[in-house]
Amino acid sequence: MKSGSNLEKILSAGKFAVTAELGPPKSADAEVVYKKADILKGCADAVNITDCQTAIVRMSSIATAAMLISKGLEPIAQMTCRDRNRIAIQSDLLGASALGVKNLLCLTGDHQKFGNHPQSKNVFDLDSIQLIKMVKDMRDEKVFQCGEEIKVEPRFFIGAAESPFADPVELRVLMLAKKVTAGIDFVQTQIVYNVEKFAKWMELVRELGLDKKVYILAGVAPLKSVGMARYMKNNVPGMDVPDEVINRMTAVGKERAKEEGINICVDVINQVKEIKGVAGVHVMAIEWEEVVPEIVEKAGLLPRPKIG
Amino acid sequence: MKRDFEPKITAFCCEHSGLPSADMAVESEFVYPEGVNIIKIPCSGKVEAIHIMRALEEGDGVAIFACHKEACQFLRGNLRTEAKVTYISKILREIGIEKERVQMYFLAPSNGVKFARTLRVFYKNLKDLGPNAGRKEL
Amino acid sequence: MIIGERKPIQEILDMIGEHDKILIAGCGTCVAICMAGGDKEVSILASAIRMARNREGKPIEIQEHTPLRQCEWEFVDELKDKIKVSDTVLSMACGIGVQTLVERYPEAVVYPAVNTTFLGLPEEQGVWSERCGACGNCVLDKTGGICPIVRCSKSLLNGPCGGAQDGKCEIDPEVDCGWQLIYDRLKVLGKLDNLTKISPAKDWSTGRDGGPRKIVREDMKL
Ligand code: SF4
Ligand code: SF4
Repeated sequence: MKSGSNLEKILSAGKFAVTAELGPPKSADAEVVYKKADILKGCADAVNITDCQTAIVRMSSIATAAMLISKGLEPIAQMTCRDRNRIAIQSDLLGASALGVKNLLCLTGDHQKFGNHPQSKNVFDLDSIQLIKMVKDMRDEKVFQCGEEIKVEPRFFIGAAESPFADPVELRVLMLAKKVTAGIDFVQTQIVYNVEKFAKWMELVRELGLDKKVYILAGVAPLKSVGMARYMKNNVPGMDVPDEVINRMTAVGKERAKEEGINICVDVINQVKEIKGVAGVHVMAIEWEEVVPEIVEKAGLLPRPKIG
Repeated sequence: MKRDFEPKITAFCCEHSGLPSADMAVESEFVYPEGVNIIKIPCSGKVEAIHIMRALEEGDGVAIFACHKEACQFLRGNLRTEAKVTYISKILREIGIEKERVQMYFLAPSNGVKFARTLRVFYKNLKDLGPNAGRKEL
Repeated sequence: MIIGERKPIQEILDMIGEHDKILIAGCGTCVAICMAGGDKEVSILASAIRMARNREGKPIEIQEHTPLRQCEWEFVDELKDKIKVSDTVLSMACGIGVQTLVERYPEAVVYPAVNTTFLGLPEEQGVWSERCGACGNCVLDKTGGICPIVRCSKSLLNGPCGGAQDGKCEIDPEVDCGWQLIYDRLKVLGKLDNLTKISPAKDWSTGRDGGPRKIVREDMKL
């Protein structure tokens, strides 16, 4: 075992994994975290905790992760390259590991321009690939980035994000291959609405044998409204929302939009489940966490398996 | 005080439009304000920002007479001048001087009527604005 | 070359304060070519300052001089007499020019009238853009001659982030994604292989992060 996390156990046992996502509050309010944790408990094998997503200051990912552990959930801490240099990242990772965090998602991080502190200085001392390599070397070689030995090494099951829909596609697959070489164990993809396109990407992934080297979790998310669908289609980079999905959302009318959003999400899960090489799903329902149990239930993925 | 004020105007005239119009205005006795300092230029594009600034420092208003937009003999001279005028407007706004003191006019060759009328209106506007506060003390 | 942009005039007027005898010193090299601080811009600024001060009823006397370069001792020496009779010097050179004056004329009060913005080139008349961040450890050989340090908004060294769309960067649809440019270029060169190699964590100590930099060439010293 690399870190012995629940997520690692589920995946290595060949079970179809479910991860969810929890956005920490924009305040020091622990109750918000505990409430969301209660909702997600039992319906996901591990829960991502975002790291100041979209460059908006929020409660620290690692602190929130530790709070989840205290409530019996397994967190996937997220770490971006935007706000910390290699000194701060390694220091935080030692702390995270000591607090019992066993999964880490390594990200580049959104540019601060669209966050709530656009005048801040960014760091990007490392990029996500160098971050992955550093975390892997800390675990497997027991060394810091500088080469110095670590007596008790932090052990993480290492993940990355990947966007199958961003241009150019050849380059995106290449980036995934690079992340695999750098040392990831699993990957969570950008939200899938266009299953056909995703299946094509998976084909490329399989051609390179990448599905054999890492566990691929397809990202899914329920739509709340037609407006949200359109917004995502037009404004979120690397997001592909086909007209068919928008039509389905439009057809049901306003009152039943949320319900249909959930149905679409369940349909996508059922479809990606059938694609060879897909090891699980990552359900993202930021600020709508209460819908996750219903989706997982409807997709027939409950109860979650318990392994050793 | 304001009544006696005689705005001092510099008019940069492109020799393909502004200048023949000025000549025609004189010939045809179309009245335009006396004492306008007419400066002949081969193309309005030849006017540099600094020329306009200096002329304004010495007076109350600067007018630039250029060919119609699609009719510049040097293709884009007049458009570039227009951009320079916009640039100067920005500077004037920054230093609190009315941007209306610098104007660009487009006209056909030998439009003496328009030339004279334009200057009369410009003169009146400057008179309403009063003396250029940024002007050198005499 | 070094690209700059004139500061807002009000900011410059605030620096000058009550002084009424100033020298505006331009530079005839980079900032002249990028139209921020050459002799023309010096004259325009002088004219604007005079008008602004006349308007306030506090006329000002302005001398103008633009040496060929403001970042070399021998060229700034020609400013000597004018500096002597001025109570403030406004430099329209880049930050290097300003500091050259400060070092050469320690008794003078020198203020910057230009914001030094980046190292770049004029893409076309009137348009300048950044090309180099002076990182002290050039990697252009690996990236098809396109700088990932300044042309990628996040200075990534191993390829694009997930934010690129239609070849544009996530920070602005007007900004090219540096990694898209690198990818396209490497494709043309038949060197896409470069992208599969992992670039290790960069040694930033050769850049500003390593503290003030200095190069000494013993062979060139007198
Ligand atoms: S890699 Fe460094 S030295 Fe080379 S162009 Fe980029 S910033 Fe300049
Ligand atoms: S979109 Fe391109 S240029 Fe912008 S940060 Fe990402 S990789 Fe860099």
